[in-house]
Amino acid sequence: MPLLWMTLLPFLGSIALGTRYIIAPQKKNMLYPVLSCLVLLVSFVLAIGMAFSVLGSEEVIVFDIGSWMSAGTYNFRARLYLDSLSSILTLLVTGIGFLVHLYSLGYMHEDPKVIKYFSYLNLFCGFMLVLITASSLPLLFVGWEGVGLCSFLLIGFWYQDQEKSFAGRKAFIVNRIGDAAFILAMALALHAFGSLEFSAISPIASVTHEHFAYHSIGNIEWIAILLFIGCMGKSAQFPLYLWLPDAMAGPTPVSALIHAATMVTAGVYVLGRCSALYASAPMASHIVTIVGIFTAFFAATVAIFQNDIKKVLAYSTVSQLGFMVLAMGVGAYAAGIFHLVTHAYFKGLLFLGAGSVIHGMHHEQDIRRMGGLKSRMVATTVTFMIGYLAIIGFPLMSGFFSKDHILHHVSLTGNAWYFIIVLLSALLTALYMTRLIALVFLGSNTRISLVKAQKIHESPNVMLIPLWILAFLSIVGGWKFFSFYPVLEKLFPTHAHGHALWHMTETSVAIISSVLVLLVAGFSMRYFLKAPVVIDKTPSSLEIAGQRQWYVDESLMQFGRYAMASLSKISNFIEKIIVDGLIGNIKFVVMSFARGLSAMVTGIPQSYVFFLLLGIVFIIYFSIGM
Amino acid sequence: MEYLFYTFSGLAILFSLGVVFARNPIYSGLSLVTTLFFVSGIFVLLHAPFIGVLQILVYTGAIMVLFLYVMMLLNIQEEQIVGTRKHLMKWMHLPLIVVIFFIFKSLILVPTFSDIPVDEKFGSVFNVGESLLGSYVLVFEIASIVLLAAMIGVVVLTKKTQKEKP
Amino acid sequence: MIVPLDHVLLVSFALFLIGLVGLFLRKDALTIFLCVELLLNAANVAFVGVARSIGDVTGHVVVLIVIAVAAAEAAIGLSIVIRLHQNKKPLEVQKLNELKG
Repeated sequence: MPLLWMTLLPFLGSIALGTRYIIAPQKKNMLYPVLSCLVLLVSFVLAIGMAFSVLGSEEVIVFDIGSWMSAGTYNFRARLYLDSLSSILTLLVTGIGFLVHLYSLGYMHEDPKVIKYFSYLNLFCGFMLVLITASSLPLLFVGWEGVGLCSFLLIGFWYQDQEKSFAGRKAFIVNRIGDAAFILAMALALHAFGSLEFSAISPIASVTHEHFAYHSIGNIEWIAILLFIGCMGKSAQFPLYLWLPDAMAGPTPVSALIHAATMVTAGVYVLGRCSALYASAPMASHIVTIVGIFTAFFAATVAIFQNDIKKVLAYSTVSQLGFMVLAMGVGAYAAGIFHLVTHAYFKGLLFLGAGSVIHGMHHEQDIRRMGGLKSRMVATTVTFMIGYLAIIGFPLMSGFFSKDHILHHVSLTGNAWYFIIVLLSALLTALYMTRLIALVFLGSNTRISLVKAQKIHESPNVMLIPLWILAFLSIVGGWKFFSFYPVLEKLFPTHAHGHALWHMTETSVAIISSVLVLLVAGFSMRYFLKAPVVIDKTPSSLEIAGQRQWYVDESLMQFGRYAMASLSKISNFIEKIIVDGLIGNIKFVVMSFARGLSAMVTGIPQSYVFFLLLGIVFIIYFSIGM
Repeated sequence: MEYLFYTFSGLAILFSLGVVFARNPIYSGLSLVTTLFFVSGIFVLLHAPFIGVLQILVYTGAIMVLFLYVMMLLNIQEEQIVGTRKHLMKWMHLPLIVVIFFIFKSLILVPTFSDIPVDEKFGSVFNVGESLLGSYVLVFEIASIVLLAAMIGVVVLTKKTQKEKP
Repeated sequence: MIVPLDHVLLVSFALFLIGLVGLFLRKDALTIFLCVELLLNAANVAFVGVARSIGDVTGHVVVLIVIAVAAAEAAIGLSIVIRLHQNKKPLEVQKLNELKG
């Protein structure tokens, strides 16, 4: 029962707020948003309660809702399922969800449509929980689509601005491409396995560290690849990442919750949930790895050149998602999920901190116009710095542990190129994040316009408390008592690889990467603090290219336009030649037939009689049956 | 009494040939009158006295007379008609007729019913009238409507239009 | 019956055939009409013969109706011929083909 309530409550909250909004859209009443926060708090408490019995043990909590659909021999039940993996993620969603709700009370305070906002936010959390606790692919897909919908609603929340609504639309459409692949994967899986329950497709056994024997199933590679394409859409891998930077048009808490902590990690969760599947599909896993590595590196290079604080964080998210995905690809499922958790901590923190900065700077988002905020917004600075240290992998922070695990497993593959590129991506992370904090918080405040400089203020407590909590988690997330990693390790089967690259142990990897990261951070700090930042200088072509994500977005849009144009030309041709031709031909045939027949009407009665007799003869002939 | 039948039928066929091959249309008409006369005789021999008499009264006495009146009124001269035509259509009908003949031949080979003996009242006015105005009264009424329509048609067709008023 | 039914039907057929031949052979409208009457009569003969054979007076009823219809048809056909003559049109069937095509 607690499982059902945990998942159902956010929906009820959303409906309640939605009804209130529909009844009286003009009047603002802060009671309702507070109510929605409490809803999520209750869900969080329930999640904790259930985690006690589920985490680390074999136990699972199941709640069967009922028979959902049946077609022919297939029967789908809607069932909620909580094992260790889901439990961790429910804690994450409800916990960070609650913090974001709290934060939004302050951030969205002045917005007239705040009730609608919280309704959507609750709805999102509800769908996310459905996604996580689903016991079968179709129910997961319901949550999947639901969060896509809420993402669209929330990104385009200020839809009066056309660009923002386009961003929402773009998110939905790019997502849809992934969804199409997801549906195909479901169809293939149904055909191959006869059922879409996870217990049939990909059982995660904590006890046995063997692989499920899939050797008799045929299309496994295709199922895995198609499923991964679906994940690419949700988790913003190249080339389906396009929507995420544009999604920054939505309110910052939305970016924190959806695009840092929860929705984008849904794809990684699916990869983890189906880990047994991918463990038996080496080619698909290979593809996953390559896409992940490429995404991680690519997004990091773009992030260096961005000037909007949220865009930097957006590309950073894409890059970190690449890390998670590549971890899943090389078989380090536990490391990938663990990075998901720590990333939720520090990226959520970073986004909320950015929101605080934006709020304090009265909606200024260009980092070139910021500087030296450390003296004016102390709490924000401190928490943001903690998040910064976590993301670059400063030793003993949570990010250090998760990134380290990933690097270690990449080195275990024995592939030098993989390791080098991944390490490089980590260093680039350090580079762009250092640039960010150097330009925003450190240095002098001379770049800020005078008007704004007078009005800078620290954010209210209701926004700061979540920051502190997340900062705390970012620090201790990897430590003994707080870390989920041991639980995860028990959950996923590990397989032995070949020799480690250059015979590095885990510790040596950690040391090398930390040293390099610190070096990069130090150097870039010096560089960015010293380098002059002129706002209105014409950017070099490199910078332009970098800003425009190396023209990926534009080229894809062009390609899309071209494809549509050719498609319409083809249809035009088909219409003209085939349809018109066919009708013209039919007309010709009918006309000639009619002309032939009318030749029989001569006007002479004898011929009429002749044909009459002919007909009668035939009738008699055939009726007698001679 | 069979020879009576064969005589009548032979003469009927003879005069029908006369209908077809006579030059003057008046001769054709008169030949047809004679043919109908003999056919009427055949009717009587076949125990259909009512029909036989009716044939003479109506068919010969009214319809053929009408025909002859018209022919006389129109004053068709002999030169206006040529006996047979000279083109392809003439010969096209022969194979058709051959086919019909063969079909008919196979019809004749079909075993006929054994004759049912009838009493004297068969075919009498009473008998036919009973059937006509009894079970087939609807057909009777419809036939009368047909005649009515024909009458109206004739009146309409022969009305003088404005242009023709002398 | 006075003669076997086959013979009656044969007579009917002969009359019918002659009527057909005449119909195709002649080219003036009036004579063609006469041949049509011949056809109808041939049919009448057949009906009477069969009626006698099966002992049902229905055949006679049919003959009556045929005669009535023949009368109607003759009336109208002749009125058309009169009309044609009044309009100075030729009475040859070949030339009366305005309904052609």
